[in-house]
Amino acid sequence: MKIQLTVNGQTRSGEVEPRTLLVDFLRDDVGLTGTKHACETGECGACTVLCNGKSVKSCAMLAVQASGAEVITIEGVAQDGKLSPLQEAFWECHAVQNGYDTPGLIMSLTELLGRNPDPTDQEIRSWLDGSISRITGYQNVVAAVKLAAAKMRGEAKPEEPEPGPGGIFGASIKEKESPGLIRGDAKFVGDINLPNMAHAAIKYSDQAHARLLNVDTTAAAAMPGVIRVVTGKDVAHLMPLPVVWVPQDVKSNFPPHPSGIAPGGQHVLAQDRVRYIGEQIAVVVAETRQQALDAVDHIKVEYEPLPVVTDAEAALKDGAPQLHDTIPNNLLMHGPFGDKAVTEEAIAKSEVVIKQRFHNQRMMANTIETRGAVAQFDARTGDYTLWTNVQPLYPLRLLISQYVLGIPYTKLRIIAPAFGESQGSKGYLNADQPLMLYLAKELGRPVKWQDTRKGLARSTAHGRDQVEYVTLAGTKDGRLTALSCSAYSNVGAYPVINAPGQPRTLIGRSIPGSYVIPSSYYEVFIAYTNTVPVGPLRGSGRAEATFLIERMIDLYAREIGMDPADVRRRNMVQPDQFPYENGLGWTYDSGDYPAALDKALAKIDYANLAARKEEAKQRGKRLGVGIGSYVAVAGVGPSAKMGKEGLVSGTWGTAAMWVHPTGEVTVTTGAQPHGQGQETTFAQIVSKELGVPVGMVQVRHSDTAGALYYGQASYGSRTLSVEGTAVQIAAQKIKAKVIKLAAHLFKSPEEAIVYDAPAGKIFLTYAPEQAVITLQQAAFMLWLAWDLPEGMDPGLEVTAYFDPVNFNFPFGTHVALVEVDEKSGQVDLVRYATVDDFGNVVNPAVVDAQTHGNITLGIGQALLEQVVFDENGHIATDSFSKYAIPRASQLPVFETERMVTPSPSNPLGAKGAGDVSNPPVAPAIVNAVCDALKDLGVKHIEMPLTAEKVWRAMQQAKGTSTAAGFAAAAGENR
Amino acid sequence: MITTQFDYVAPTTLDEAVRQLSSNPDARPIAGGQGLLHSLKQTPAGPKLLIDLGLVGDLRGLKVEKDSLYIGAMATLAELL
Repeated sequence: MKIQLTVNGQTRSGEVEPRTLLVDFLRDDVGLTGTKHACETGECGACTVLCNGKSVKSCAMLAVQASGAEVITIEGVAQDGKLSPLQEAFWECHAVQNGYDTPGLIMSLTELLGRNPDPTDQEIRSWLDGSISRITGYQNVVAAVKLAAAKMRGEAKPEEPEPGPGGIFGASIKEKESPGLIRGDAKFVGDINLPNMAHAAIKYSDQAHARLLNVDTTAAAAMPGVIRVVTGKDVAHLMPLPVVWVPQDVKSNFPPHPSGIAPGGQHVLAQDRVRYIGEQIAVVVAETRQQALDAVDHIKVEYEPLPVVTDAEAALKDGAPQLHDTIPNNLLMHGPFGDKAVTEEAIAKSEVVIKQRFHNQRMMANTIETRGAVAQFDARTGDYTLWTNVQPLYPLRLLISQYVLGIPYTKLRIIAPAFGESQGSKGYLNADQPLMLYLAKELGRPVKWQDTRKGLARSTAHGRDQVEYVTLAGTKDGRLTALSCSAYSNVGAYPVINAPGQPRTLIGRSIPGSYVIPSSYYEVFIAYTNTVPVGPLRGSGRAEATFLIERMIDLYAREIGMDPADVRRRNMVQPDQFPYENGLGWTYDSGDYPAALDKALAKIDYANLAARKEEAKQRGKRLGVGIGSYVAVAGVGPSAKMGKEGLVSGTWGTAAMWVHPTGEVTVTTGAQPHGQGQETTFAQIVSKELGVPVGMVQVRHSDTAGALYYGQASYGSRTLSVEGTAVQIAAQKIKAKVIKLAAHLFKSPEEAIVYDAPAGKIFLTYAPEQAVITLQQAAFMLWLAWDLPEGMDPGLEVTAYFDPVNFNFPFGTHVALVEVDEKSGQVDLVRYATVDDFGNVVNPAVVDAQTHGNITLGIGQALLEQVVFDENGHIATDSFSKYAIPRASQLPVFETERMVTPSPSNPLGAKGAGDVSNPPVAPAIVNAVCDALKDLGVKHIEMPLTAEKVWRAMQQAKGTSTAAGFAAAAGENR
Repeated sequence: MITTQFDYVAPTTLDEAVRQLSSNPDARPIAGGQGLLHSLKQTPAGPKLLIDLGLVGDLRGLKVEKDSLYIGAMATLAELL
């Protein structure tokens, strides 16, 4: 059908099928890719545009329905290159994280501001309920709307000028990476279009466990536009995905891998058997994405169903369905830490012993941007290029080239374009990435694939999913004596590249939390099941550990009749005990845990909640308060220590720094930012060290063809403390060379030269006005190389490495105040206060934004989020309507505060911040709900604490007649 | 993306919409599309014709007559609020 509409003031016409969605017309036909593809069900708002002045979700509208309409997309918001007041405010308020959700938020909020020149916080949050932005936690978005409204009313204060190099470290300057994201012109993987590019769609298994009898591609191959259909047989010569985390101290069992070096994981396409819903069976390549998706449903798969097991404990029992022929009893590993006998004896001798089972439920990152890949092969040179939204570019370059495709490492280049939310889920090697490279070579054309929302639920690694049997022992007067935990981790059908890392090391070594516990023991049974593979999710490992210890502390406190805050204070590692060896392998570096606890309690007025409790009761609400204290390992890491854990990869940081003859600085970092703002924070480090304005510092990243030997990427809260320190060291090496040059020029000893970074000059102490140069002059002289000291190379460039001797250990306390509705069981989080210590902070606003994201993910886990499989291993939670993510109006204002205890583990004094403040959130909230239900005798409810579960627990505890019928169903909740 | 195929018409009068609907057994009317488009994305087989009611003026808007409030079938929730 022919349609004509106005897009951003220009008439656009086109021929579309009636079924073409407006989002696809705008992106594919008009070529405006600022409007994003995300949920495809109108639930997340990423594709929001204005249609005749009203915000609409362009995935929930046919293009033909927009014929004759006036459409404004994100590209039409800035006028003549000038950002709108709302766009400016997004930038100033740090309301942008990775930016994938930003265009949709701006379009939706543009309508709000058109209707209401002075919206209240509540009105903004209610309006925002049409959009999902778990990554921002909405707080800075709300602030941006308030600021934009003030700007439009002419009431906004003028922006403060950016500080110079002297004040740049620790300043909340605006992020350099934001404008492109705010304008909608940053290119994400889905926005990359190459000439002659074909499109792929993947056929996922719809059986959780079955033999593949036949895969019939005839009908699919005959569909319009189809170029090729590839099945497992076609790629049988490719190697399976490897595993690079293999503990050496205990036996671990993996599927085989022909390299003989690393063990294996799943094949690029299933061979003769599928082991989970979503295992890739075949791939269709067609001229358009629509044609590929049309054809993929016509692949006919004949299965012979096999018995299914989805639960880790069940998978380890005798007679359980077996997943891998070479792996007895589905056991990946049984890994212990600590001394079992000593701990058991300590427990036996203790006055008070508390036991509890927890299920840290399976979650999905369910990122707004799905995973995708664009692959290209150059037949002339034999070079492969892969654009993909992944964190570990260099590790994947190594693994895909050497362990999957069998091509030279140097023939593969990986580029991560701008990329959306990860929450850890883009930290893996996935079958689709090498598959697209294979197809690009086979077809001689670039091939693009981007997953669908349903596909994401099936193909992108899930997180958490561990059952723990915990015993905590102590004295009657509140002194902890011993902790023991036997855990069962569900790793899914195949190991991800670092599969044992989280359930064993990250959880196991972290369970003592912030406390001095004389004896601790942890053991984990990691099991294969017929479910989507599981890997680290933001907060990884420390989230599970913190949850169990923080819940146990509360259960113990209740048992002995002591205030849970007092139990914490009494048992916390004290400031004079650092470095503190926690008994299970971590050496905490520094901190003041009780101070963070007391500050957080003061923020919430912990000592005086009785009146508030009474007031809530009058309204039919039960008020509860809960504490989550934490210490979280961060800053991966000391390579040798990681090696001992089983990780086959150096984990040092690196930076290459060039000072150009113009005085501009280029830094290439091994970090891979996707919302953490390193283009800004690393420029701040350089600015402080070298005395150049941040505007003259370019931070390059995310391309294996860059000027770097290798890069470890951003994950596990390591970026600033490890990669950032490498940047600092690089700047210091630059400085040292400049000082040497100055000493030579001024014919004086090096000791007499001062590098005055805040003033931007290098001078001789006893002739500061006469003998003085700038960094730019030094760089220019080194470029000319007319007069250099003997032995000095021309040019001003260095490469620096940093491999810390220890991890770093951020810590803090979060406190949640909840109200539980007496009648419905609905939990409202009414206040949330935090005191975190991330050591020295380069850009506080960046860190606060990370904290908001961490809190929101934790609230999601505590109250809403859970992946559900049925008994056949079918996934039930594959859309945002079935997998709930916190919306703006469900959240309180996060009352955040920071302490600063510099880390001795790195010269920056920095501690991780990217995911460490997630772990305390879920226990704080569950503790608060259990506190609210304390007088009913409710001790524990498994997450997520939906109204139904809480209501059932209340009814059961009350022993009312209604409860009797539900008691059996609610059994697991107690 | 929707993987089922269908035709689309957008009548401007109620009579025309009714005529189209009664003469096409495989037709479905579409209003806001929140439910229908969602279900079309889930199923490989759907209606053969969508009849968009968006341009049918008679169905739109709100009007107050004497003591009665008339809410058009195509009035949006936002208009109501």
